[in-house]
Amino acid sequence: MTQDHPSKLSFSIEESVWLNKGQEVDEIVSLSLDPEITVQEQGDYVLIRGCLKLTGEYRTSKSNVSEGDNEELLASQVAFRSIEEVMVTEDGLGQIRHNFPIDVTIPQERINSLDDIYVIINSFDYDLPERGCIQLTADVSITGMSSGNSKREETDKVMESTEIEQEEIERTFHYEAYHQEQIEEADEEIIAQFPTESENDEIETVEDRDEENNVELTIENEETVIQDGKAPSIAFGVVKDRPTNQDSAISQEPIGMLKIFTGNQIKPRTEANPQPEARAEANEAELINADQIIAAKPQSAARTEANEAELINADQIIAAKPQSAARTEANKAELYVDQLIAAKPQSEAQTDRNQIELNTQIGTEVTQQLEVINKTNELVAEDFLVKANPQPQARNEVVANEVLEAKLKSQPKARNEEPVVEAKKQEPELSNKAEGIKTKTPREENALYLTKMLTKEDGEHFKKLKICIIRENETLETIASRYKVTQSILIKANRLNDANIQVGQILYIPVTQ
Amino acid sequence: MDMLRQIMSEYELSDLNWIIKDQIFLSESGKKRIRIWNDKQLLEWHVKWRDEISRQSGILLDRMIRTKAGEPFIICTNGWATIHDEIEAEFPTQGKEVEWGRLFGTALAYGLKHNDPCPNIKNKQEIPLKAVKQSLDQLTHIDSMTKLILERSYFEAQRRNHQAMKLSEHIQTNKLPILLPFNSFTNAKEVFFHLFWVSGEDQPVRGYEPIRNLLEKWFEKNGEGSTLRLLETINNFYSLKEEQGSLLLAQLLIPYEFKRTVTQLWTQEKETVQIMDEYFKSWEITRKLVLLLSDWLEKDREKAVADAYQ
Repeated sequence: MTQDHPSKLSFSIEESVWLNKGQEVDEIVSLSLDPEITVQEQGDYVLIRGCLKLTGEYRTSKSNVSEGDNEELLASQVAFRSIEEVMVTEDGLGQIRHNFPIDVTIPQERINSLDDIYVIINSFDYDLPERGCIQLTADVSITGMSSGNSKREETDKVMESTEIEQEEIERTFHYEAYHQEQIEEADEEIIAQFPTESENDEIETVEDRDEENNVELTIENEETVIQDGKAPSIAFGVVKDRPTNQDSAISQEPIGMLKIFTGNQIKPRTEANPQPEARAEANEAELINADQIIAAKPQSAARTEANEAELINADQIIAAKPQSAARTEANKAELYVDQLIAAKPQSEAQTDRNQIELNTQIGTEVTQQLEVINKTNELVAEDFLVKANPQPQARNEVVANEVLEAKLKSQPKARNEEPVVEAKKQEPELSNKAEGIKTKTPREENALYLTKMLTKEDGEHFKKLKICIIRENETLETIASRYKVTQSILIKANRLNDANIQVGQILYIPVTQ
Repeated sequence: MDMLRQIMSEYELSDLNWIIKDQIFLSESGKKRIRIWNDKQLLEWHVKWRDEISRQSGILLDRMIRTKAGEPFIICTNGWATIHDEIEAEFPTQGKEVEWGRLFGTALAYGLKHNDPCPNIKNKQEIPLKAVKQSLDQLTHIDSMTKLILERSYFEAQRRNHQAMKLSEHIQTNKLPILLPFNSFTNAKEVFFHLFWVSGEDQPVRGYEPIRNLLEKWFEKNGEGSTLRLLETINNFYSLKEEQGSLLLAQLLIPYEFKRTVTQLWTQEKETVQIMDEYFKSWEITRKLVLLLSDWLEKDREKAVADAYQ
């Protein structure tokens, strides 16, 4: 009998917040990071959702100047606040509010008891490397997991994988997110804008979203889900230090390190009010390759290596989704990866590239799949050719990464190009979530099925495979209409028995030429 | 040999009887205390310090009673032994600022002048504030409110540290006085209405921490006016203006109470409530004292500037 022992998932956060010019931090008055999470059971998974709330106050050089003449007085220089004063909000101070969404999905079998699950901030500190920058570091743990997995071990008998997975449960991930110019000025108050929960909710509502601009990527295959929400704002990468055996793609990221870059780092935010259109961010989809390393590239890399592959393999994935100042590009990204389905985005112009890439821009949402990759090779669809041409002609020449590149440029420019961006996004999504597939065989079937489907099984020329999560009040008809495909194609593509679909269900949307 | 017999043979003391064995004995000339020293260098530093401070200040100190041969100590089985007068009556603080100020002013002046490196100087290893914060982060057994208070005051503590560093950076000299630690007012005894200071056997320390301790305790006990009078008196013997006053101010800014509180919460020698009460109190005393000292220093500066223009 497998012995379960309590374990925890730990990861580190390093994040630099860059302030607007003229609002440089002279000193941090207070800063706290508090987890606010909910734990929910959903089917075979336990969802840990919520956020790490960063709140703080800082005094700018401007504030000090406002103290004016007193500055020369020794007493005013050295005076400090009482404990009571420290505990109350002081007017005239810059405010830092910043939510780091947490979205972690863990298989039920990894959880002993929901009561044991805690998100703990082990340590939290900051530094001011320069006055315009707040550098945050935190060590976060999620407790209450057991590292054993007897069921899977018995079923799949992949002891090696299990050992790796158990080892990795204990592993501390390194997570970095860099924000630039993401603090919004409001009088003396600065709010570092990352997607808030409400925004995330908003993102998920049908009414609010721009269907063409939303990007959803979900890959779920019993133990594997890759899900990408709205327009991502940061590039995301995960590197898993497993040997690769199949894919030629090599992660550029250091092994064991996960880096997350906010879009703001390269995409300065210039507007305070988000526009619905601006949410439209191309979100690439990509690839997934099993038993390989998952690496999501930062945007900067994405810019220079458009359409190049990054590997993804995930047995553990932490996706962090900072709420970028660019709320306009708020997105939700979730990666639940355990088993991987390889998907390879291809543009017509770049079909010769075989590297695998997951080049999504996502925020600080953190997702980690703790499942062992069992026989992932079986699940790997041999490089799906995800062809897409969601928009008429002129748009299909630009590959997703090019779109991404466009987005990474200055906000105004990105906005000017928005129609193009929207048109050219690629949103491949793969999912085997279909009705709780529990065994290898269905997973294989799914993978093979998808492979076949995507490789012109029926003579169709799919350029792109979109994934859509069914929302309230959506029907197959509305989905078909939205994506300009017939219902029968959707039924066939998703192997539905009829036209009935349920909220939360994932539909693959093959887009034909 | 019995200790009392040895004392009787080497000192001009008779009729010796233990009051507290190996510590305090009664003689025909009153109560005496035996101190045993393991470190001869420290002993010699103390002998010299007491003799000099007593001579310079005119304050009575627990000087080493000389042997028949005129030596300040004798060799005993455990090292070296010294004999001192033992006084019980405590010397007051309120209204006695002049005596206290003279003692500490003289000690400061002597300590600054004779601050050569000495192996017995206690070089206090400061724990970095960030390390204390990490320690705080790992505290799991304290209630959330306690943690919140400490987390929030950490930033103010960091600011205090920063200000202390800024002040020190502007000081040209890095010369600091060597002083004996100040632990308690109970070391001040009264003999015929005069201050008799018990110096103890502690290792000397470099810097203003003893003066900070003294001022904090004094301020807490006697308030602002008395503290100002004490400062003025100290200043008569040792200039707290200019650089040394700023260094004292910098010392006051260092958030020892934050470090002390986190340490106490780890060790849990007291109830959390008590620890936090003390934290609030000590923080507030230091805060007020910083204002008092900075105002006092500033006032002198303003006066000097005003005088210069007249």
